[in-house]
Amino acid sequence: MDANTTGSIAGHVLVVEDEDDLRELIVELLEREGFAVFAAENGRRALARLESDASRIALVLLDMSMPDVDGWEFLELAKGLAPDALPKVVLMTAHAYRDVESLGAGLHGYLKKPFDVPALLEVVRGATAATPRSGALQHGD
Amino acid sequence: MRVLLVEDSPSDARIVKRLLGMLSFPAEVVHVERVSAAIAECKAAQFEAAFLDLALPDAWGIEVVEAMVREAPAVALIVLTGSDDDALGIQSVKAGAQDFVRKDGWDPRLLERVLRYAVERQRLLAAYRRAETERARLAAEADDVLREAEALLSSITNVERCVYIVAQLAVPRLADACAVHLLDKDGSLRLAAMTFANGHGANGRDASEPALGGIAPEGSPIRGLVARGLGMTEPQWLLRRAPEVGTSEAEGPPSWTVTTTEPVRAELHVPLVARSEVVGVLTLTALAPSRTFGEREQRTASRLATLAALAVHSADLYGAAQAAVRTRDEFLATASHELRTPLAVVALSVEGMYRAAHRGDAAQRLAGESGKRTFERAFRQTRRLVELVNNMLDASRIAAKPYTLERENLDLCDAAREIVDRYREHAALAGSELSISAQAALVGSWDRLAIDRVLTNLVSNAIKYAPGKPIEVSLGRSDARAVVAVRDHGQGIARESQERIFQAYERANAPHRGGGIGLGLFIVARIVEAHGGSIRVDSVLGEGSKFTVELPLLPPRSATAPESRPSA
Repeated sequence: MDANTTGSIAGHVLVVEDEDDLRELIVELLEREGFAVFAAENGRRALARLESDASRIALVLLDMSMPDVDGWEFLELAKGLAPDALPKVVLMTAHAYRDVESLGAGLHGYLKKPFDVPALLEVVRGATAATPRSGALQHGD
Repeated sequence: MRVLLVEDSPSDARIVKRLLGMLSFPAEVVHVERVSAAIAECKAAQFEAAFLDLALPDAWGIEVVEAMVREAPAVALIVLTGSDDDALGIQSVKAGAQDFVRKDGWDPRLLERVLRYAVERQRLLAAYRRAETERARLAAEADDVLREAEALLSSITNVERCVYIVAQLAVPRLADACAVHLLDKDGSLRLAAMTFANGHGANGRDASEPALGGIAPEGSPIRGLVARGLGMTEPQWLLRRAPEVGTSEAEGPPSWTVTTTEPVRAELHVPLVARSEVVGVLTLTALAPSRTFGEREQRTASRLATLAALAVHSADLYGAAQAAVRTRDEFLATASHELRTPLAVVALSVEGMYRAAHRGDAAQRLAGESGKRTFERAFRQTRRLVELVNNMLDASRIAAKPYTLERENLDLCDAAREIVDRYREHAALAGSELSISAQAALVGSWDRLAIDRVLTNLVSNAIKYAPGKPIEVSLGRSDARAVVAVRDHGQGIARESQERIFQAYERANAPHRGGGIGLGLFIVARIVEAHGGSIRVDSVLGEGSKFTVELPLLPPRSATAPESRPSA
């Protein structure tokens, strides 16, 4: 493992995904790579986590289609919750978006399902590295 | 009677005036000496008849007749000829005069008869000319309607718009009111468009209320259609109609029916037939006393109905094609969305194992709880992918017509046991205990693969939507039917969703919990239907659902033919 990924992460990754298998798998993969991870199975839980641990969360990996509070609603509500200190957000989606910027401000990139391990790690590393939050967009293949 | 005398000879004029004074009815005589003066008199006042001398100061011979015919066409012309000039008299009649009288044979009775007959013939001629003009006008109008219909309907792809245009075009040129009924898929007739001419109908020109519409007479091929469609929603005066006074029907359906009643004076029902299928009925109604429906009107209505039927038919096809494209797009979007999540799990899991194998720490990675979980996930999601793909392929096969069953003797209990065995582990992973209670055997003639799909979908649905709760499969017999029920104790299905879940791409619950593209129950229902069986769901929110399938143990008599959906 690279020294600058393991143990040097400023904050947690919040994985928001309603599919248990996928969520657990991502959490496992990220933890194995040395990331500190919070998990939430829907937008409501994710908001609660954001409320209690906003300062510790550097990145939200966000599934868009979820029951109850979905990814879009989460984004709206999260902006109201922490208008100035919103963590970076990477979308996990089954849909292809030609232009992530059109989805709204504050998004760091997206992962199109199915994605592979390198793509996941690249996006997470890129987003959690000590770069300005307005850095270039990245996305998986 | 007002009579004009055109004569420049004072002596002849005197004789004619005296004879006219001897008529058995009073005649007012105006005497002029020139054609120009005669024309001026006719334009200023009405004359029934004119006696014409043909040797006048301003005109001579046949040109006198021609000038009068041209300038005073309503007046009956009687020519006064010389003693031996019958040829000129005949020529005058050919030019438009009603008769001629020789100046040498003055006879008051002859003069009276000539005058009466000339006036009468002139009246008939005028009536004939008026009718002729009216006929030509109506024919031109009918042609206009058909031409306009052809032009307008050719570009319309919406059924409602088609029939609206037809009703608009028909009134007032073809009828005082027009209604178009369309045959719905369930066989009922529905009023799709109606128009009244100005001054008729309570609601003005565009009446939306079914205030008008005909019931075809007894024996008419469309009577059933019309009566069913209109039902009892008609106003009373239509129900109080007098029996029809005239009915004309062509050989074989579809055909005409003409009924004449008060206050609807006449009504013409024309079936809308496209590709030898009745798609509706066009009704033309006469309310004004002057309106009649003859052969010409029937021909026009028939051609308008043909245009309308073709337009409705192609609009229907267009709509169906649009809907099919929309369904396909939705299906592709949903399918790709639903496949991607399990695919992500499988891809990530397998990739992790692959990397571990390459690093040489596979034994460590795959041992213990964590390794077990990895395999479980990959296994579960692979199974889900297989189900999704199977259902997608089945759905497209089943949606294709005809759907043919391959029947063989099959024990439903065996089939159910096999599926329960197949899914026991899967259910255990979801925390559900899967149990079965079955008789010794329930043998029927069914399609093995199709029945397998029915049971598979019901059991996997139960596992998907009611994890952590027991699932019971039970089999039994009710008369000549095998009954299989799959009972879960999950969240249940709301009453308003219970019908919907058997349609394609529908799910009762939030689309993401447990996934699925809403095809499983659609496939189940179609297969059960094809077997002549039935499916129902009993469900209470919060308590779980029970899906019950009944299948006839004996195949229907026409078991070789593909069974179609039983009609309601």
